[in-house]
Amino acid sequence: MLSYVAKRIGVSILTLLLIICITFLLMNAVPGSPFMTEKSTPEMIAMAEAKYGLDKPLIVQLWNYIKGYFQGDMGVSLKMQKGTDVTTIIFREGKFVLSFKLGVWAVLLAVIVGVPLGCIAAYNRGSWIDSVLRVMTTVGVAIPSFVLCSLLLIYCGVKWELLPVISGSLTDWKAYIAPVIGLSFYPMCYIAKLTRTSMLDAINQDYIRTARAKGLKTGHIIFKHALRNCLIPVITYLGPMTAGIITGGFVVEQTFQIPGLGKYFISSILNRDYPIIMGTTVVLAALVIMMNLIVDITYKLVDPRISLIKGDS
Amino acid sequence: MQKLNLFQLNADRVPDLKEMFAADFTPASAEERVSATESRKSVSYWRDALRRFKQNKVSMGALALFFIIFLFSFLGPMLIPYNYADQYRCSMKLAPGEFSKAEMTAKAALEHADLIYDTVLSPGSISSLSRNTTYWFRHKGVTYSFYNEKTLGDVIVLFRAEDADPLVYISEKDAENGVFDNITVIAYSTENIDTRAENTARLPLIKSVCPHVFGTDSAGRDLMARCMYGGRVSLSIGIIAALIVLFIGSLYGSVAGLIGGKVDFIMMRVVDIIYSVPDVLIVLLLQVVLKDPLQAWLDSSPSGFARMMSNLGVGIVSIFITFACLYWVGMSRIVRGQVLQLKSQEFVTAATALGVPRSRIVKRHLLPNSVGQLVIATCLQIPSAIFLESFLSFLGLGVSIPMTSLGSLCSDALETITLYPYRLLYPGIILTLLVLTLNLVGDGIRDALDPRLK
Repeated sequence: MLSYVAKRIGVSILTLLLIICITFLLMNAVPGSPFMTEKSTPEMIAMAEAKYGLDKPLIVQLWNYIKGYFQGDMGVSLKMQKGTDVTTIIFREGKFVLSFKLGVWAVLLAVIVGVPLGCIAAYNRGSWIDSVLRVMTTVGVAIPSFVLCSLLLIYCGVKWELLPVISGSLTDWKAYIAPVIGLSFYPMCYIAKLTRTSMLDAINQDYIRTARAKGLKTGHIIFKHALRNCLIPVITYLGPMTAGIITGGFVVEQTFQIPGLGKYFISSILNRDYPIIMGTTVVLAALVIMMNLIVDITYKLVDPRISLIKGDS
Repeated sequence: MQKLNLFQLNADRVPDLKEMFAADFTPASAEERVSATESRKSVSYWRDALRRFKQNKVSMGALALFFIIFLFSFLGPMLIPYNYADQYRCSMKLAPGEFSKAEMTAKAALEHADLIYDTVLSPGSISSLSRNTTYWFRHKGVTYSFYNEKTLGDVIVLFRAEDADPLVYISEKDAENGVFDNITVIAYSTENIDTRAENTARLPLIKSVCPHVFGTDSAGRDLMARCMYGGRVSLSIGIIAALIVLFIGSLYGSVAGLIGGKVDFIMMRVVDIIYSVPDVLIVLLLQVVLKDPLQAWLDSSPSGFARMMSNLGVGIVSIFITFACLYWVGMSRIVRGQVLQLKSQEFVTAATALGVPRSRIVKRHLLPNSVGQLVIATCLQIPSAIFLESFLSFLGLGVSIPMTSLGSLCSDALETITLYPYRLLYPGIILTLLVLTLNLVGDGIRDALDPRLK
């Protein structure tokens, strides 16, 4: 077990390093110097490059870049907030917190609603409830998040005037509703699908029959006995789900005008502010990689059978 | 049945075969003959899969719907007179099915004339209707040309059905009131017809006025034409990206699986690392970084390939590149798994023992047996590629104007969503249906080709 954890941590760090290298090299692949403006002379550019260490060989720069990242220094914004530290922009200006809150709510909603929906569908297999849920989940995984968000915006926001059209900085609880639904609908449907399938598997097992024969209540059987065993695919999905929620966040923040990290990331891309693009990519990638790591380890802890089957290979 | 005599292999005397056969065999009776003949043709794997697919009502329905969308995207543009890129003057911001003023005039005029030449509806005509320009058109073998009169600002040039010769024009105001009596014959000349003057512009002939079924956008582009074109772009990207993934993934996976050992280990660790990289973030990065160098390369390279790519636009090409870089890993895992599984099967061992060369084993045994898996994975790759492309285009990083895709249409519509929600609804619904039907068809193909996975 310990060696497995160590190996997973090693691979995660390797992946993160790889991502930092990729972002660094991509940044360097962009033609032109970041200090190039209409007024700057070649000498000025050379001076600025010397100041930021851009005149050193590429490999030294890469090393400094990696070192900087592990010390929390992600460079300086070039365009959007000229001269401000990328770390400050991401973490100290509330952008990260805003997006993080939204993401956590979305994850919670997806799991808390998705799992019971899957259980209900499996338990009522073949009935109209199952059919309705099946249609919903099938459409739910096919509808792009921006279409869903826009529909929410048009109907709940504009036509029926139930929710605010612009969510802004999420000061009101009402402002949360539409973005969180828009963000969590796809993972919710996916989780419901996963749970239904694994629940159907679990229901036909012998231990459930035993529980039934002992006269336990259906709800008790489903939620106490069967659910534990069908949560494993859901746990496995939590890693990809984090990535999905982060990318979904770009769309949701764009649609509902939320000044979070996602919206900032997109505008930094459109503005070609490379240090911000790189910094945000690395931070978000680190988040996803960390989540994958946690999921992988939890998953092993939850189900000891997995380590038996796969061994420590 | 008679019992056959066994050959005594270690017998002293070699048995007389002729004699033995004559004694031991009797002709089959009629009944035996019936039971021995093949009563039904053996069903091949593909035929069986097709039968299973046909039984799946949901998948068949989805397939039909997919074909409708496919025809809409690929045949549709030929059926409507509007082009996805043209900005139709006076037709800005029309609701679905609505006609612009000029189009209404043209419609009213068409009841009185058999053909009209319109200076209002055609794209960009106000700028080309300069004083110095001679307009010309040919009707019934006669070429007419005319200069722009001062009065010819908002006119529809039309022929009356009865007598085609006089060239007449009506003003919009007249047509609106339904007055066609005071049609004025404007000056036209038949001089210098054969030698087309330098500044001539040809007027488009309008035979009928087609409604803007989905309305138009703020620049006067027909939304249905754009949806058709966008659907075409999205579908093409999905299919081509899936093929790229199929090619790279199956090549990598099969090499890893076939060679095995240390090579396999290293190749698969590379896959593991790429797999755990958050793909969309890197895709966004690549989109940004690739754009300028790619554009420069496409502009400078003289090769035909670069020309073709340049026509597609940088956005689409960089989507393909990102797919080629990142998305093949899933496919390579599937293929490697298949190869490893098949490699250990008896028929491959038998072939190896018989001395069949490796290339022939791949061709005859491994490929045909893993085609099913490849088809399934490729089919399910298409909707995810479409999803990704629309996501990128929605964020403004995919295809660029005037090229369009369903995602960028939605993105364009977002700015004016409170006023014109239908501009987002139509492409959004088409996109959802496209992904939905492809998902369902893919599931159906999976169930049909590999019933165990159901």
